[in-house]
Amino acid sequence: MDGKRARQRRYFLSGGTKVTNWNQINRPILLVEDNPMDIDLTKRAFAKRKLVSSIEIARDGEEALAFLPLWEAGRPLPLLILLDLKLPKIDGLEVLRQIKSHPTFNTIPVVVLTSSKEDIDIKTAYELGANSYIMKPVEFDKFVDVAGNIDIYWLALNTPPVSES
Amino acid sequence: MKDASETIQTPRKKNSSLRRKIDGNTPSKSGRDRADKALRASERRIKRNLKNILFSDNDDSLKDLTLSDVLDVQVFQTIMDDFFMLTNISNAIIDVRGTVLVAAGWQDICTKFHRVNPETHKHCIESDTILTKKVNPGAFKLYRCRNNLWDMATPIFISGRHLGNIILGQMMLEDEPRDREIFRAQARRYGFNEQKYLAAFERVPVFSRETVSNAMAFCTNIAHIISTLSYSNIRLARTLTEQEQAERLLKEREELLNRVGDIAKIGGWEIDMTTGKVMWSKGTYDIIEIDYDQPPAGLNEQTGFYLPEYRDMVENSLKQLIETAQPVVVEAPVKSKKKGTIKWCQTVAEAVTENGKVVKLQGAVKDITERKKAEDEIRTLNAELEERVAARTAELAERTRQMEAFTYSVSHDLKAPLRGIDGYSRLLLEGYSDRLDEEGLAFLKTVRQATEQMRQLIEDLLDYSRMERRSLSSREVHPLSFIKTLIDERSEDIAARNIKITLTIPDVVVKSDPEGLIQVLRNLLDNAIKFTGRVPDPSIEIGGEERDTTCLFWVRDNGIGFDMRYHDRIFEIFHRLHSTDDYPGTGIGMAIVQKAIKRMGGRAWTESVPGKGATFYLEVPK
Repeated sequence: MDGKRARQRRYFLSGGTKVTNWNQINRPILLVEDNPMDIDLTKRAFAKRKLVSSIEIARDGEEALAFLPLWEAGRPLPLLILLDLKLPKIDGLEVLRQIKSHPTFNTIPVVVLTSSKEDIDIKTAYELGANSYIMKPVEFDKFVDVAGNIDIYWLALNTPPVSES
Repeated sequence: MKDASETIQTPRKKNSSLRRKIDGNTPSKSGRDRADKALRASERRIKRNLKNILFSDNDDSLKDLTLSDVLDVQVFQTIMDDFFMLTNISNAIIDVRGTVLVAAGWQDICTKFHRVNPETHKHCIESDTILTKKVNPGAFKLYRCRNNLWDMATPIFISGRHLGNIILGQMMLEDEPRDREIFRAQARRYGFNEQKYLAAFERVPVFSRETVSNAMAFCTNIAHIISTLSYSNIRLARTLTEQEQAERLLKEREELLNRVGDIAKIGGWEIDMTTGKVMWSKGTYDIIEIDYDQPPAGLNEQTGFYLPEYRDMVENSLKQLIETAQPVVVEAPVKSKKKGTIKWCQTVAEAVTENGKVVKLQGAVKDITERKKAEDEIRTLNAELEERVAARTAELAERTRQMEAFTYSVSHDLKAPLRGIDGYSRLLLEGYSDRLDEEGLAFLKTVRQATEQMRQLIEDLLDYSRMERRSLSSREVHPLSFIKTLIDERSEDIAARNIKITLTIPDVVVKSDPEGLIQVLRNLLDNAIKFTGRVPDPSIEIGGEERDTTCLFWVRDNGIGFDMRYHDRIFEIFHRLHSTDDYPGTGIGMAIVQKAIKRMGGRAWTESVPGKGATFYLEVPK
């Protein structure tokens, strides 16, 4: 990811004020997703929206939790975690529970991005501290829209806490 | 004793001497046999004659009694024959109608003349009836009969009624002139052979007044005996009859009681607390299986019939009954004496008290074996049923769990490959359409359409499944605002197709599950929009009406409608009345409506005329 492009990312909000989100520079997005097609399509959807952040991938719950010691060791914290729920080995809700019970990393915004709209999933996710719950649409066009909205909201509008590491 | 109608009171004591005289005249053995035979015959006859009177409850029943009914004619004929032999006085016992019942030593003048000629016979009857009237019991009357002979009469009263007379007579008195001329004149008047008639007259005996008075005193005594004996006999017979009737009734009642005991398998018992006497009804004998002619078990053996483990309980109940005098009910099994079968018995026992002291215990014991069996069966069945219910519930819970796991899996996993198909076909279309010919593009389009259809199907199925499983809330909602929002959601379609929307729904508030109600109304609106798709002036009316306990809503369209034969099948899952080509859909929307409305405690139904539109009704509780 090249720093020049990142700095150029500006969003025009109502009133026409230009805002640069300096806080997001050099910080990746963590995508926790086991389905290779979904990984690819997510990447493509974000690419279509001209997302500047790098995307790190965890292909199951175990891989996702393996990031915790890395972050503790000084690896840049992700701006956002996109978390699927149905994962091999350790499922998404457990990953969510561990992140949100971590004294430091609990401030990382976690957006659940999953196919399910089961009440129990939504309820549990919020109870565990999910910051958002988004249905992953089947239609690619809509998925691209969703990716765009995530980008605008979580990576531009939203102000995450300052990374301490 | 010159007066022909004088009555003489006879002192009773004089009779005893006469009586002894008669007793002294012992009859021969053959005479006794004859008398015994006659006695037995007369018993039968009296019984027969009395029967009607005796079986009448009426106090007036004696009014039809005649002397012949109660008088043992043969016995008295013998007595009066003997009397004639002793006294040579002609005699008779004649009832009040003039019927001669007993006659002894009658004179020829009477038997061959007076009683033969109709006119003189009439005099005899008149004499026997009229002249003998109004004589008190125990008195007698001396009179000259209508044919001019002397007679004496004493009445026979039974139960205060004059039934007849004992008459002595066909005689002349010593102190009366023996006037042949009167009789000669009678012979001429009635056409008797004068010579023979007068000869018969000469044979008529002559007695002194004293002789006839003594004889009459005896007869008065006889009359008294007849009177008291007969009356006593009647009384006795009556008492016997009454007793017989009472006994018969008692017996019939006992038989009925026994029969009832048989039918109901119930028996009675009584324990006299002062004498220790125990009495059982037949039913108790039958239950315990002891012969009816045996004495019942003694006071201390009453609880011995029960199975040993129940005896204490039974004894305690008896003690309680004796102490409190309050009725007790005991259910315990007994072992029958003969067959040794175990019978469950229910005993209801009560105490009889006198001056606050329990003097008797009485109880009804009922064989309730059948009932107990039935109860056991019911208990067993219930236990089995509970087990089965528990097993079935567990099975259902397991199925529900599996179903949920399945749905969860569908929810997560089924869409992922679909997303791949849709995503990559889209990317193919974007990046490679210039390298595909027309047919290739068409194939790609079909793949994407099929994907969309599959997506819709999965979404609808998940909606249906959610509607089935989700917990409902109950909140105050405004159906009208829901409808307005839903119309707004569909405003693009409605505007594009120029669908006329009419809202006649009242602004009511209902207590309902908002999500369910929205889903139902949305599906109905979508349905109406879909099926008006090919009519020239599409119009949809959404109406409502408040009722007592419910609200009725309807969505009416002028679309293609359907055949009413299928009005119920519309609500079946996957059931479609039109082809997917004409009207795309999954066949789940109406099933969701039905599922939701049922869970909300309402109902849904529909009416239609093919080609003229359809109306879908919803009735939900307020």
